[in-house]
Amino acid sequence: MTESDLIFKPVSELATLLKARKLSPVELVRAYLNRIEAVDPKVHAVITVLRVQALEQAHRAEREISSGHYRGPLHGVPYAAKDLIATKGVRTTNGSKVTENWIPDYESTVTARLNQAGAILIGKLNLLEFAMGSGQSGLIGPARNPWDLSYSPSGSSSGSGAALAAGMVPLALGTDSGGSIRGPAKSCGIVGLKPTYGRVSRFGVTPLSWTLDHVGPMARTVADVARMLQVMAGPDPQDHTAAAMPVPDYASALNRKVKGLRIGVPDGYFFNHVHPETEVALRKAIAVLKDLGAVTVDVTIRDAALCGAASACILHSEAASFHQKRLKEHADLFQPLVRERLEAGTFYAATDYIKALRFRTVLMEEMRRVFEMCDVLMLPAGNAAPKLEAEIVGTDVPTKPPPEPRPDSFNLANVTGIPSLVLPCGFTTGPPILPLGIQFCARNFDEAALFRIGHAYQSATDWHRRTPSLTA
Amino acid sequence: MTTNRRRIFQTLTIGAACSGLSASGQEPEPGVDALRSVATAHGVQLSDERLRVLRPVLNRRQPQSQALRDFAIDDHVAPTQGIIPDK
Repeated sequence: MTESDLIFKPVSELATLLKARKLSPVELVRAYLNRIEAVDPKVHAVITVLRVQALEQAHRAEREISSGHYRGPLHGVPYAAKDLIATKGVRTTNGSKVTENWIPDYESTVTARLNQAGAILIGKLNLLEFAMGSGQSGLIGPARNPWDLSYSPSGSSSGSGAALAAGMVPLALGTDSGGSIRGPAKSCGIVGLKPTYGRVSRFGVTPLSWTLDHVGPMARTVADVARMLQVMAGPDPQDHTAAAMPVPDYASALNRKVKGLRIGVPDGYFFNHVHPETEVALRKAIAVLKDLGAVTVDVTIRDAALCGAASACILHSEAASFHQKRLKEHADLFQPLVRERLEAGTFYAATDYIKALRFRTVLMEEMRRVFEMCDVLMLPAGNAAPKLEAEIVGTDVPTKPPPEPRPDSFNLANVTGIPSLVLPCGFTTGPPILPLGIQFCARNFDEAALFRIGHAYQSATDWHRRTPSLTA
Repeated sequence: MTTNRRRIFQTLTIGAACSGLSASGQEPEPGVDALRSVATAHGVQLSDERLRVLRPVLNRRQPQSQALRDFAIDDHVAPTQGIIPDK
């Protein structure tokens, strides 16, 4: 089996080969390290490559599996983490000159759990500075979209999306406070999950906004995302926001049929500004799911248009609070856009912040009402048009004329905490030829419903099997 | 009836905010002196150069912030800080 055969295989297949000792973890890790070496100079997805450490762990995994100590479906499987997730003894930059030499003396809970399951960390991934900058400056410059290197992979988990699409890693960790997992998932044609707030511990993850932040799995298939979440989820004494909720067996959810599953389709607002080809792709995706037995239900989400304002107030206020000391001491080291947003965040009144949190309560209640009518909610995977990297502006100062505000179909899940999954559902006809995405949301802690519908869709389609023609 | 009226008003308010207009008409845009006063009151020291950078950013946010302020919420609704009850 050649390295190019290996790198785009789903983890479900890799795990079968590893368990049966038809594939060595060392061979697998080497394949991805070689791929990183070959294509990352173009893609800029990886900040730190852990060649020596990863190969040592691969040898250890090989010994364990050979001696009958197989830990489970992630044993010997490489992964990489967005570089704001603390890894003990490994530089964790937050994509920022402010913390570019930080070496944590502790391990985040998510990486500790993946490591315990036998997964092998092979790199730390590029991101927008502190998960809130633009891609333009940053520590190593912007990650590129493997489908078209002149386009952005979106952010802030830009390196996670780009690395997966380019075949540099089979699994990745991202974080999402307003679409930062789901945007790159859509732009890069991979799968990203923002779990329910509290489903996954955030201990050791640099905050952007405590009440909007989520850590989540990213991969090329829904089944692989489910495998990751199985390991990552659950309560954590080191994070009081990690809920004491039982973690179901997600593998069994994958094989449940979607017959009778109610898909809520919201009215107009969320579809404003959606790319015409996206709209067609979403309709076709729904048709596929209806053919499989799902039913659609029209729903209205009241007051959703205020979600962006509430999210901005909460996010910028909390980020300004978190970075208060760093901003005072190292303002010049922040990217201009991040500095601008943090400084502007200090102008929100406490009453505005509290009002935004009260609006959150209203919207959470509204989502409870919506999910009485449907089991999952379908939304576009963002409303922004694909962005040329060169067109990304590193400031929030309005242009003339200012761009017309777009609806935001990502913030709804962050503000209310509901889980949300993005997966590929087509491609633009181009040029440029770029992935299109579909988003599903579900009730709190019902990630299983998302895996059920996502896996059914991927079993009936092949969008997730396509790979960019990025040459090494 | 009251609820419907409230809904209609709020929809119009939000719509206005999303089109870049304040629901309550043209609000005066705060100048650098006003921003300096607010920053000082918040315990933040920003140079006039920084305030000049921030002024258009803050003014751009104003309609959305105002829409959030104008949004009517029943008195019994308390803030949620993100922690979802285990139920």
